[in-house]
Amino acid sequence: MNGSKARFVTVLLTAAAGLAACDGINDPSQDGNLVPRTADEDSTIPSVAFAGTVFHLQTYGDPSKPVVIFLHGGPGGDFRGFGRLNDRQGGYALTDDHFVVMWDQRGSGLSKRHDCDVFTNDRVEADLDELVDRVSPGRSVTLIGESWGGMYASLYINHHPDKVAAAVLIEPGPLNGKMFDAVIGDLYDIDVFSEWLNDDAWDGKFFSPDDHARADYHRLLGMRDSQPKFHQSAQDPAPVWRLGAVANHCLMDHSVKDGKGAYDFTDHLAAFTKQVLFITGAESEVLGATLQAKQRQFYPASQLVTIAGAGHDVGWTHAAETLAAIHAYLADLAALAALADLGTVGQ
Amino acid sequence: MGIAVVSLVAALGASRVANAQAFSRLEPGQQTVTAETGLQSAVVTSLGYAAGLRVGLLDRTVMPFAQATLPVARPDLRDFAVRTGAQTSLVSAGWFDLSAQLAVEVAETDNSIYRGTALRSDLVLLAGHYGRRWFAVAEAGYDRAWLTYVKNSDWYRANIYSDAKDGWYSGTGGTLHAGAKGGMTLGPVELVLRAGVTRTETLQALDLPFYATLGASYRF
Repeated sequence: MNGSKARFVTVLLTAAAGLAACDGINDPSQDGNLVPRTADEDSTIPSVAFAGTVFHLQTYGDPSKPVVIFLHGGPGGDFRGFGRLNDRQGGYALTDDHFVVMWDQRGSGLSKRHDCDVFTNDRVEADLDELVDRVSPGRSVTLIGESWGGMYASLYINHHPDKVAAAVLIEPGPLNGKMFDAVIGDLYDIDVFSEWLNDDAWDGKFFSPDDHARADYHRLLGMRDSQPKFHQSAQDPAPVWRLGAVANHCLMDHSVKDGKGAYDFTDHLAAFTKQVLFITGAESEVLGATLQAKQRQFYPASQLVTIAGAGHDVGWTHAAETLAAIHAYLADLAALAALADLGTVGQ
Repeated sequence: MGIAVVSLVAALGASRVANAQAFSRLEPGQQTVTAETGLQSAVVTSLGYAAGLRVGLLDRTVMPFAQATLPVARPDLRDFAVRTGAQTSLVSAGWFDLSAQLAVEVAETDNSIYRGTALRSDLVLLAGHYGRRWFAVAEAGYDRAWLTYVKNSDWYRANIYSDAKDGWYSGTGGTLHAGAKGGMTLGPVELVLRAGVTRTETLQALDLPFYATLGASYRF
């Protein structure tokens, strides 16, 4: 390179660096600008570190009481949308008789971000197992999972039936590859004439997913309108803090090969003989009552509650009815346990 | 949220920019109007104009052009791009020609989470053969959004991140592409096909890493 060319390149690079450093010019890769910071970057976010990562985690109530762990949707979502289920509804709150644990799963919500290779079903199962051991050592827990969270709960129960006392599955996604293949065509509105898909693709002129912040920001583009058959509320959408694009993409890729579901969270569910509560929204077309009537069969004992007027986001838009169903289910289990204890004492 | 936005959707969102013009090259005094459609950062249609100008100072024919692009699968006047630049031959030896195309672009979008204006550039190198009735070249390019003004939507602030920063952002996106471009001439009409693969500027793989467009131009 001769002297004039070298000077030109130097000036160009200096100008580019100067532009990036200018006051008033923001860095799209910097958390806190387009998307919020994560727990490892912001000490004000309640968190706990284990399993080689930092989880956004918040607990509510008396830790001596039986533990309820919430499992959010996605993969890649967060627990913000569970807020109403943790509120007092109709005179009852889960914290009246439980210690509630809300957390953002690995690489999701406000938890620390990771590269793709750490996202395997074995890894996320191990994360939940370590969380259970930490928050409820020696005692089984109640799992409440929504959508992907219901799949996650089943993944865990499939291998750890003895560590789960009860399970509430709110519109769980497909629990094995066969169920996945049956619904994949209805999961998304892949219509080239749809506005959301055009916006999503056109966004390529503005952002490329070269880091977590930009990938997560882009991922939010499809959140509002991409799943019309889920009948989620446009007027009262369930909020999120931040989606984990890599967690979503890589965990799905781990379980879906050549467009086919290549996973099975059901092959040992027969060992889980406790009652499982399925909840669906009556308006939900894809993961609603029809699918759940089939998925219940994987569990030896289950009940299905369908809430009128609700879509897939039933736990947000119809939180009072959802919590009432959960309360009734947990009360029944508690009564059965009390009877069993009486029987044991009487023997 | 449902079992969110699966890879297929990410893949569609990941189909990236790979700009070029739907003409081969022009002789001094020739002009052309172009139309191009295909998958190129959404399903788009572009209309353009180019001319061949002899620039004595450079001892070359320079082909300045202008192009306007709209996503057409669902026409939305809030999403568009206008672009201007020039193409010229750098090296010509026998049957072989190496040309470069440099353009600047202003792109607009308005979607559920933000309204944006991007100031972009793209550089494409074209190497191959230009015959009388056909041409075939390999193309490689780099495009970048150098500065993007982002105004986060009310919906985004209300439901996702209330403290999101509006304003100018530097270096919001960049893509590399490589592919082939070829065409044939039928009188004043030239048909041009382009296809290739893309990666992000940090060589991140994309799930649907390709572009493909079909164009036509009319010379006069």
